[in-house]
Amino acid sequence: MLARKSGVAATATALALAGTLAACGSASNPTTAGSGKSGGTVIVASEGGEFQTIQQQTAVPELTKQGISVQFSEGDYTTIPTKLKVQEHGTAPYDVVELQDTNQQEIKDEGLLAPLDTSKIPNLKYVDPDLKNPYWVPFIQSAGVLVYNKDKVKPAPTSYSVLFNPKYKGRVAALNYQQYLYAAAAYVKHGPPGTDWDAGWPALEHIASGLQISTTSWSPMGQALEDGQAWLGLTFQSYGGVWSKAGGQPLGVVVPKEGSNAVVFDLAIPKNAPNKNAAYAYINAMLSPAAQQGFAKSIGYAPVTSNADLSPALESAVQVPSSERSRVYPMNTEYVVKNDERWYSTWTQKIAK
Amino acid sequence: MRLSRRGTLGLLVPGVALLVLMYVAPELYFLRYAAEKPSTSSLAVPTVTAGTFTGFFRSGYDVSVLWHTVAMALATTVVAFAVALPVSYVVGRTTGRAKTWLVVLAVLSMLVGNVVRSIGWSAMLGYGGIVNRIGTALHLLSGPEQLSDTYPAVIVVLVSVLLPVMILTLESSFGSLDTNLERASRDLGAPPFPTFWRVTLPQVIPGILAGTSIVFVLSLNAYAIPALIGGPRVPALATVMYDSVTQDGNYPVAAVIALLLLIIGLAGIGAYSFLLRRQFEGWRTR
Amino acid sequence: MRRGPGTIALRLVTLVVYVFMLAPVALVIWLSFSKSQVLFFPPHGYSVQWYEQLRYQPQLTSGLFYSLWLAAAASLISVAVAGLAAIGLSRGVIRRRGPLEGLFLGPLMVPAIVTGIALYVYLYVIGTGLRSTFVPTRWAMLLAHVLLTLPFTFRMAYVGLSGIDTSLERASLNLGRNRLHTIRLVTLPMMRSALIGAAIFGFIFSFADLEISLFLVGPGQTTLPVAMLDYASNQIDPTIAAISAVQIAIIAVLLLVANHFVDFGKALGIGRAR
Repeated sequence: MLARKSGVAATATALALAGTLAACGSASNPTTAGSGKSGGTVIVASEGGEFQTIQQQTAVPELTKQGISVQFSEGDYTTIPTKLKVQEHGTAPYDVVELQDTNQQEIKDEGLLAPLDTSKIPNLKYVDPDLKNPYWVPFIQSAGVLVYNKDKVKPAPTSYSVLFNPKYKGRVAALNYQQYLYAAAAYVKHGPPGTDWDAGWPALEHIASGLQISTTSWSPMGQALEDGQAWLGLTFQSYGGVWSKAGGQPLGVVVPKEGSNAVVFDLAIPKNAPNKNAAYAYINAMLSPAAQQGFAKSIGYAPVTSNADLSPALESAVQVPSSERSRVYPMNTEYVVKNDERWYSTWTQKIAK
Repeated sequence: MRLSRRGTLGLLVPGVALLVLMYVAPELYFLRYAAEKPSTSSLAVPTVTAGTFTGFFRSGYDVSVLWHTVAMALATTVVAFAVALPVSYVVGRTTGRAKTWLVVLAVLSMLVGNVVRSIGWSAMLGYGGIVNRIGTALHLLSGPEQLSDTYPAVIVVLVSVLLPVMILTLESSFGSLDTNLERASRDLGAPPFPTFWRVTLPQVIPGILAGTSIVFVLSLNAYAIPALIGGPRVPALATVMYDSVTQDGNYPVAAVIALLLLIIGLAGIGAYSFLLRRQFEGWRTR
Repeated sequence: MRRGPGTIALRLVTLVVYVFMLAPVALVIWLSFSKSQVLFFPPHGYSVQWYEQLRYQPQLTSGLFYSLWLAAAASLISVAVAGLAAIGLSRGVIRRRGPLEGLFLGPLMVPAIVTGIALYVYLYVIGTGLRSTFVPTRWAMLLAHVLLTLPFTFRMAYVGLSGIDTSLERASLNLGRNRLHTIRLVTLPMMRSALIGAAIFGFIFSFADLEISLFLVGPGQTTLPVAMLDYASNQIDPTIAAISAVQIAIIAVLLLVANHFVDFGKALGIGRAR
């Protein structure tokens, strides 16, 4: 009797469990914040991680208020252009794409972007006019900088030549090959390299064996600098500023005298995006003071708007000191886009092996 | 209770069919690719050739990966065995709640999986991590060093991860020992170590053979640990196999590597069976 | 008279070795509470923010849910198939049990990573032939995980079966019930502990597995261990430590539950009964 009862109960529980689990198995995409609202959905191509977290905390609530639900799609500067190209003649897989200006230039050159209707982005009036472009809207920016260990690298460096100093061989961390090519060319030419970055390859090959190269994210460089395994690295003011306050090795940040490039991240709308109105609303939300402050506070990127209203302490943390500001040049996007593919393959074959 | 023919078939057919159709068949089907040529447009060029196989052995890189993987597996097995031996002796002879705890902790560390433990070790082997800190403090290291991405690191982590398997296999052998023989040997005047070597050890040889062959095969086939702890500088057969499919789309080479893993693994288990039988022959004729 | 086995030295060695085995698990849990994203040892401060922020890590959270569903479904199916097969094998009319027993333990013989890729290729080819996509799908992954757990669930069911009192079955038959009823009302309930234990262990093995899943993952369908390995290849930080701690907690709880139902030594087949 007992055996029968417990048998039935057990079978029932098992079936219920299996059923619930089957339902869960085909369940929702956890990145969808809300669903089926009146304004539709906007699909944002973002690199995920902290970028996405900040957007979920600052921009998404704005959209939810307007009845638009936001869905994030993870991608980077290689996968996003590829997917746009593949679906060029149908509907784009994204409404908003987030990319650095060089990559936006690439996809614009391929005819994947449509010019923006600026009347739909009220917050555009607060954006720095130097950064404006008919095809994309900036949302964060930072300056290229040299980070160094204050205890180990003496005297405090002012030039890229420190990277090539044999004393520091094996102590240089590297990620963004464009910055290193620029640095090598500047070192060889004793000044800003203009449009001849290729002059730097021999110098790079010379130090290649000692470079601590990470290929995927900034974290390993940050960790290496904090642990003291690396004493030098090229990155952006955003990461440099955050790392210098993280509590590991004492780190200094400087824009070398040969200059560096500003890096700007922008938002664009593919010409065949499914929900362009929602895309405009999203871009507008990203320019709000809340979103601009979110990026500054969490990952140290400088705002692009004049009404971001950062505290003075935060303001000085995300900008390079005024004495160095003149050394930061806008990126020559056309030159970089023309040569980038060749640079990438030379880097992977000759330096990063 | 004896089932009818129909009953037996009814109960067995689902499982057997599943295994034959979805396990045996796919394995054989895939291994066949070892005899084909790589192709860029499809899985492989349908043909029968020994070229892929011989090509593997003509590639210096591939052969070195093969030797290094086997060497790592052997090193891991030897070290794991040496370390596990005293521990299994203790665990095998413990009783009661202490024993339950020891077994549960070993099982837990085994079941949390390779990835979690690899992540933990990756953090431990970091430049500012615990191993470097302790090593420098004890003057074993002159300063922090790059520990991961090296062969010794992979072996150490493999040992740490596979120790529970070795210990759990050995401890049951130690647990079922007849302590009277030990005591008799000691009463007759033999000191502890020779007693261990001539009286205790021979009784646990089946457990030893089982444990070492399992650990050898598991370390030979390891993927997560060489991938995470070893990185690109410490390639292993499993990681090279994965890369040859995901990066090169080269299924025939992957099948060749799979075949090699199978052959070497079976050789290890075969050695186990052979030695076990010889051991028991030895017992009988003594 | 010494308390416990071995000398003090031996017991000290045991302690050191256990620390060596469990250190990575303990460290991962410790680091998950580290305040700074850059890892310092020892941590410079503590916080639970990384656990809170896990919901902003879609690849990790969807991996967790996928793995949970997969493990539950695979272990239930595996126990059902294995349980029936174990009964069939031990009570059935078969001349030689050995080869069939070997078949069920088969998936242990081949490296899991090879089984994964073999299944992928096999199902891909069948799928293309039938103009359908069988890989990568949840069902292919589920199949792989059933195969993965089958040796363990079979072994535990089989061992559990050998331990039950057959006189009760005989009594049931004598009382006029047919064999099917006897199995349903006598045999299966008596196997309850073994089957529950088998289900739990099946769940754990599936939940923690990496190798067999490597080739069968797809966009939006990544198991937790694969997602964790992907993340960890880029960076080791408190976030990956936090999700690792979650995985450890789930497995530890399940293990304690299983301890209630099964004796580990016998269950994992490393038993005294040889």
